[in-house]
Amino acid sequence: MEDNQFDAIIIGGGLAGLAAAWTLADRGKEVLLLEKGDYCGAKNVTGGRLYVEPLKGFFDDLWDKAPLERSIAREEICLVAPTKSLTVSYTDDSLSSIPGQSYSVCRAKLDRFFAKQVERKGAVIATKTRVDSLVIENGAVIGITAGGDTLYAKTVICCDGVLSLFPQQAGLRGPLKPKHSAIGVKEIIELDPQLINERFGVSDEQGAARLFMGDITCGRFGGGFLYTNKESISLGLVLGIEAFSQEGIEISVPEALDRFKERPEVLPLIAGGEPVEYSAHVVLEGSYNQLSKLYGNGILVAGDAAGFSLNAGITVRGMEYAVMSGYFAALAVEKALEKNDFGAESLSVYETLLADSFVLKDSKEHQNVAASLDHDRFFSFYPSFVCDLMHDLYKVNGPKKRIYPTLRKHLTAGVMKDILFKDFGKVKKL
Amino acid sequence: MSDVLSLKGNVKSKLGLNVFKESSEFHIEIKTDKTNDKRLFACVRLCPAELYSADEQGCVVLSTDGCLECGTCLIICGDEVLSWNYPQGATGVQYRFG
Repeated sequence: MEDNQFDAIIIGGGLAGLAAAWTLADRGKEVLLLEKGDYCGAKNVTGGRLYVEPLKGFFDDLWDKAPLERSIAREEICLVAPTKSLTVSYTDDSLSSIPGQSYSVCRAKLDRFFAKQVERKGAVIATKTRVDSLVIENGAVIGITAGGDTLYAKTVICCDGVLSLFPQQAGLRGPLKPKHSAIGVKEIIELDPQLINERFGVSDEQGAARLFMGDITCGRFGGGFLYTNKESISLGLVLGIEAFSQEGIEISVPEALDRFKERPEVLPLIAGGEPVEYSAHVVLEGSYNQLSKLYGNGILVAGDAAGFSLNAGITVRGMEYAVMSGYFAALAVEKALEKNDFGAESLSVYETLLADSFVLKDSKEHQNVAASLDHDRFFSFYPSFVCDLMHDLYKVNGPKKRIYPTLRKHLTAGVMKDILFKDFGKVKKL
Repeated sequence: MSDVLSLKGNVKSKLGLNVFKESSEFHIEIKTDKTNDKRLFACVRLCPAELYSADEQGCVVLSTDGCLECGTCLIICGDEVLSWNYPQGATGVQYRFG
């Protein structure tokens, strides 16, 4: 063993890595965090929204001081058919109260701020440093190489994001499959804060989140999102990689985003704005079944790299799991340091800690949701069905049918049969 | 309606909004005998930066300038077809918002 050995080397300065570094440095441990970007957050993309509520009580007053954007006070869903749409807008007193349960965020700002706090705790962060490989000896991870240098550590925490290259090198997981992943593409559109307030009916501190499903993804698995930031709008699409690769879809990903921006449900909201950034990243659409092995000899995996994400249909989450898995990985390292044993069995306490927390509880609860959501009828049939029904309910052109006969006209025996036999089994798992 | 659509259909200009730092290496390369692998043709339509294109010989060519490092091509193709790594430290896309 080398003398210049860190207690932990953390690969990746995203939320998982920063949370792990903060926690270990707070406990006086020797931590080195390596980040390939110019600064932490430089390579990270979110939709995005962070649910702060589950993180309260951790990381001192970090969340009070963090550069969060707007507290989401209005939750909206828009079902999109080719020429129609139905938007549901929900709010209540608790969503409108500040501090709220969730905030829109921009990762370059949030992660950079978090990194400063981590450095104040005493961790060393080396930015502009790409890790090239793990150093594995006798089946145990003992360090990393970066730019020709080899650095040694008692433990390595892989927080290298969704592509999870290092956990793959360590044999903890296989490559991510198209079926379990999606492409997220996003534009940041700068817009006068006063216009944002007026268009979304919110105050300066408050914001709105709107999810879109239906025709915008060509009726396939995926959706659109819009989050209001302080002085900009995050607008984007998430497209299932397998679903969008299929024959029958002619348009490209950039074309799909352009088409989305032109929709009458979107364009008036962003009009007058100025695009200032175009980003993309693979997103996990996985479930409990797609989680990697979370630890091995000398190695722990946290955040997206470990497969922690949740698409529960109307709540789409990942960052809270990154933060908390980083935190628990750090606690596991702390316990391993007490025992001076960094083998897989010693580090297995990580999984125990996760299992007792919302991280693995949520994964287990929702383990079949992603597979059930991947059902084209949810993205093609239902948005059109609901919009066609609304059309007839609102249409006035001569003799008008009552509501109930109009409903019956749409809910035919054939439709009811399909709902029961094609969809209900899926719906039960949502 | 407004300038918010002015970059429509122009991915190059959209990429021009971002901060990129040049690298001396190609961080993604198509493996030599795989340039007509059908998975690469999916990348032509799915790459958000439109970096993959099919040439007249029916082969797919890749330019990594403007790569958003999203990983879509790696997921589609796997390491049989691509050698894929992030760009060296301090190079590639540097998001200001993310």
